[in-house]
Amino acid sequence: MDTPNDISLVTQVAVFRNRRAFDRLVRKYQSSVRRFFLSQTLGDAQLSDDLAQDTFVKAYMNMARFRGLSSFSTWLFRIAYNVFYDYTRSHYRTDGLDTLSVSGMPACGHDTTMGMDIYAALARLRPEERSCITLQLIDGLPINKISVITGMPEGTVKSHLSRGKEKLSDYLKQNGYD
Amino acid sequence: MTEKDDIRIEKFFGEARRIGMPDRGFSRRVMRALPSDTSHAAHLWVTFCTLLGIILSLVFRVWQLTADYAEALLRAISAFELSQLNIIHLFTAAATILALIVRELVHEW
Repeated sequence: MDTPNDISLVTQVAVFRNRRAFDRLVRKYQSSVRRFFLSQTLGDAQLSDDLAQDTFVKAYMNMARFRGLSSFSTWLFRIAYNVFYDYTRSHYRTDGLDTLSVSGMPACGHDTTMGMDIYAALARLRPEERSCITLQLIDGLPINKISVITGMPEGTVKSHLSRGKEKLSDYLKQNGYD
Repeated sequence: MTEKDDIRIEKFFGEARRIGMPDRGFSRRVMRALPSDTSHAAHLWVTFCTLLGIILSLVFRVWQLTADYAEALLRAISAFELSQLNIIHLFTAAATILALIVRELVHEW
């Protein structure tokens, strides 16, 4: 939920192009945006930071288009989701999102903040399921906000969440999480 | 999916939810990557106006006029007496300058 401070900062950026205000927004939301990308890229820290940077630059350039119909964080996550969607679409033919894998050994630039087990579990999910699951279980967003961010109907979000949780449940049982 | 499964999944992601990503220079990197707010057209316009100003100052011998005005100003200052000081005008000027400084500081902040 937006605080009055958020609204004030957004206004200063949109009207006066105040970079100091934008810097405060970046510092406030960098953690959640980077964590979102880390979940989507299964722990690729370098790629996550590149995509997060792209997200904030796009937010800065399009701040005047923010109408306040949703909270600033929802609007920012929608940009992040689109950035990731564009990235996967442009790299699908060469790499393929489904081929993202989590090796047992952390590679150079591989994040271990959230634990390799989480990335291994998320690797079992399809990209749409992964987005919905992480937005709900890690970022704590309700279904209606996930629907706004992903542009999917709420029913579709629920289906992705249900299928994703079943896969996760199987994974946890197989790996002795009780 | 049972309630137990849901609890297991919630617990599994619970720690990840609480973890905050340390900034480690990320914000600075983003601020450096922001595009300039002045467009290419604006740069061209500033360059054009600057060149025009230089040419006009050469044509109309602006340095000569400036020297004349400066000399007249210095003479006026040397002939100035404190008794002629208008306190209202002084306060008006000071208040205007102060307001401009405050406005600039607020804008920067």
